[in-house]
Amino acid sequence: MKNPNTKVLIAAAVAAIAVIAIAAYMIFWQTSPETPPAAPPAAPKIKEALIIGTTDSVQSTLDPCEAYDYLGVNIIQNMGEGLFKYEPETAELVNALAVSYTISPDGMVWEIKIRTDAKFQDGTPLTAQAVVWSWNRTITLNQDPAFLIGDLIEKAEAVGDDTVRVYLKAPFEETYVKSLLATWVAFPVNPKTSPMEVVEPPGTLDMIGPYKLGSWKPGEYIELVENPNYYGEKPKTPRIIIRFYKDAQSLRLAVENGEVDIAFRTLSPADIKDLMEKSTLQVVAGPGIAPIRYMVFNLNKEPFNDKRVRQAIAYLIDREQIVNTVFMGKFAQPLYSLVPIGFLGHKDSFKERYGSKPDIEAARKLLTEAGFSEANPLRMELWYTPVRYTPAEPDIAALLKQQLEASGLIKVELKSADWATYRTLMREEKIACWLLGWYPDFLDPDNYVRPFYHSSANAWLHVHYENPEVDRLIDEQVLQPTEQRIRTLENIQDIAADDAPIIPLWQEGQFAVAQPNVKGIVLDYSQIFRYFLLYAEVQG
Amino acid sequence: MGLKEHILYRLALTPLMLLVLLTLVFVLMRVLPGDPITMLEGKNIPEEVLARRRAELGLDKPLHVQYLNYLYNVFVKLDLGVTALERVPVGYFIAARLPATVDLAIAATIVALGIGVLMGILSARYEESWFPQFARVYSSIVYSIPVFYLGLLLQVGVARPSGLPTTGRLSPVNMVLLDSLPVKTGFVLLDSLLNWRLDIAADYVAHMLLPALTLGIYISGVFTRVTYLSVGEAMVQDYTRAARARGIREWKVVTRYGFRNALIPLLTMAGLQVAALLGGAVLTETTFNWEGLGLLVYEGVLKRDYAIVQGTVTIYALIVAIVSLVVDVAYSLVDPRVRY
Repeated sequence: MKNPNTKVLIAAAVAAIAVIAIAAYMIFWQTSPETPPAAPPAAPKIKEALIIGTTDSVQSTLDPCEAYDYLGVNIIQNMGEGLFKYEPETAELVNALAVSYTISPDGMVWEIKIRTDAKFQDGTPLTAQAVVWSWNRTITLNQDPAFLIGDLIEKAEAVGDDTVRVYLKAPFEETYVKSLLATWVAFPVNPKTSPMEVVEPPGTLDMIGPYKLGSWKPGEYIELVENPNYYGEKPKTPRIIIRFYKDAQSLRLAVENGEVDIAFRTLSPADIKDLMEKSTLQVVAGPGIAPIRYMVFNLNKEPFNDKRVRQAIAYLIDREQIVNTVFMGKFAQPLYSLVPIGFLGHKDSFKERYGSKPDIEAARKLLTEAGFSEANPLRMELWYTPVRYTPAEPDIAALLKQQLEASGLIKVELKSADWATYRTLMREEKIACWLLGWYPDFLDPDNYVRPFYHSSANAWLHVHYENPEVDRLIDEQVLQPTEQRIRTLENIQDIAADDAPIIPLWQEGQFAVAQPNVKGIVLDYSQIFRYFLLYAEVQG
Repeated sequence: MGLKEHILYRLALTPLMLLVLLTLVFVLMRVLPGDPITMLEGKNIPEEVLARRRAELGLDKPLHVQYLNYLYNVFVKLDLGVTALERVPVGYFIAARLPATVDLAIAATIVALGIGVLMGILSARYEESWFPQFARVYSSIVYSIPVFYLGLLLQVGVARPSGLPTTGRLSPVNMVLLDSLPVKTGFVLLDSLLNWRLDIAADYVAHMLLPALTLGIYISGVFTRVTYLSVGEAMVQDYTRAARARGIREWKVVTRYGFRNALIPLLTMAGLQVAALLGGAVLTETTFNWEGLGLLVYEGVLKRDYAIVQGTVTIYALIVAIVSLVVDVAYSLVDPRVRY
């Protein structure tokens, strides 16, 4: 055997490094976005395609009668519209395909005149018959979100080609009806091309909106292209590509290295803060209104069947600490009612009832009355699910544990599970206290009280909260004129705060992280991310 | 038993192996809490709608009926079913994702063999230097390091400063473009070359660099050890001594006489590594958002989509069965002493 030859080893190492360096250079050279332009810079022009990265996915189909997840619904809202819509920025409910409407004196019958210049993607004109057919299709197919109009409309009929007569199930309040008719399930679809069954991926339906579906590779991307037959303003960017990422880390890397123009839903608060400070990327913030987070108790389980225990916990929670520590004081705001700030009838009922700062003495008093002491503390499990909501969920759970244990009378054990397991544990009632989030079906306070507090509608939550007075008030508020409705909603929130079956915690902000040249990002009260307003200027 | 009989025997065993595996996966998925429809819960969807969705998927039937139905569909109708929520045929996803995993596996094997063989030969050649110790430590570290951690290190340490792509197979614009090109095989590199789109090919190679390095480094340790041991063993045999005595240069002795000795063990190891590659691919694909079968099965488990998990595992099992059969046959071609 020869002696070691260090020179040969070094030569081999140098050769290997050289090969890697040359390969890397070739790849960078081929893919570098900063290749200098050959011609002198011309006037800026609009980028033909914008790429939006997201960790959301389309969880079922893009058929408006079935879609019920954030992204699927948002895409449909860029491909279609209903009789009413939310105006960007002001988020006021305005006419879309409707021109005008009248309401009968008893509030039971609406006559809605519709536009005569609107056409479907294939050029077929919109008619009242098409609107009625679409609604009947949704109600007949009876998929997950069908109740949004199914519980509202008794019957609809066409009066001529341009008027829809709607018979309601009850004399509901005007804004309530309009907000439901603005939901995606009520979007007209082309009767000529829409089947009487759910359209599966990679398909969708012919609707009336700024974009239409270009291509869809399930699990990878969705491409939207301009709809040339749309009656309204043309989209600023002709083509939108929505690219799916598996987690916040991948999405962050993609926006950092310029692979996507906009990252929308959902980067972690820490990542957003980091990007704000260290990169040239822009962070656009919108009002955090719709998505709310809360803690639920199973009222059939000890010790949470005791109202004093729930109230003690409400006294101990420090929402501001959560918002300041985990959300850096910027990406969320404390929530003192399930009805979010900005909604009709919102009232800080929990703040009034329990204060904005933890009241340890009040909590200890209640816990002592309930039979707990230092020697015999309340032992509880607090459950959370780490992936579904924010990547910061474990930190939040740890903070809540710390806050509850500050009383000296509670010992908290933190437990977590992936969503499928978590949801099963809820359904099988194996857990008694857990964190959950809510994204509204439609933008009305009713959607923040009925599914939680009405005993006929909150079975899905496994909270077992039943209060006949609250049930009655919830049923009444949707029929009342606005002023009276506000008072009823406030009343509901006060009672719910005292009963404390659910403790509101915070409402999340909306954030888009975008390349510096992207414009037109509107994040408003409607929670719709409007692709048709987006554009990016590039040097032509 | 002749070679032909051996192949037939192995092929006959494959359905049996699939049956055992599918039964295992069927049971494991059902033991996990939740079912595909659980993903829809957490909204106020009426209970009767959820019950109907479960019935549509046959989840309301007793487990043994579900099991028999599934086996009937797979073995008799050759139908892997549809995904639970989107109702897309599982075959569609597998056809779309399999080429990505095959590409990654091939690239990773090239990286692993490149690193492994080079380090193994150098270790044997410079037996008494520091290099064999270094190679030994390297092998132990890369074999024991969690592959997703290695991926993250490369993402943060290499990709972020250099601007190399870290996620996906192509930039989004090229993904859409590729799907609109006329010639389609599903293999991105092949498709981009057949359509003469070198820009897409370069984009693909750039995207593949880090995942292939991650997975390649992960399995290179085994190849390093195997090459080193086999070449080292040959280097003290009489025939190599005789070669040296004839004045043949040491490098030639190592590569010509020593390395040939390592071919059979390397081939065996490459065959055995297919399972490790596919396992490692799940984590590598998850780390790099590489849309292959690994990412598909990961998402399938999270969504409790039984059809996706069962379908993907079936394909995995078939790949492993076929590759090990090919390796067996290749033995007899490389080494005439091997007989069945």
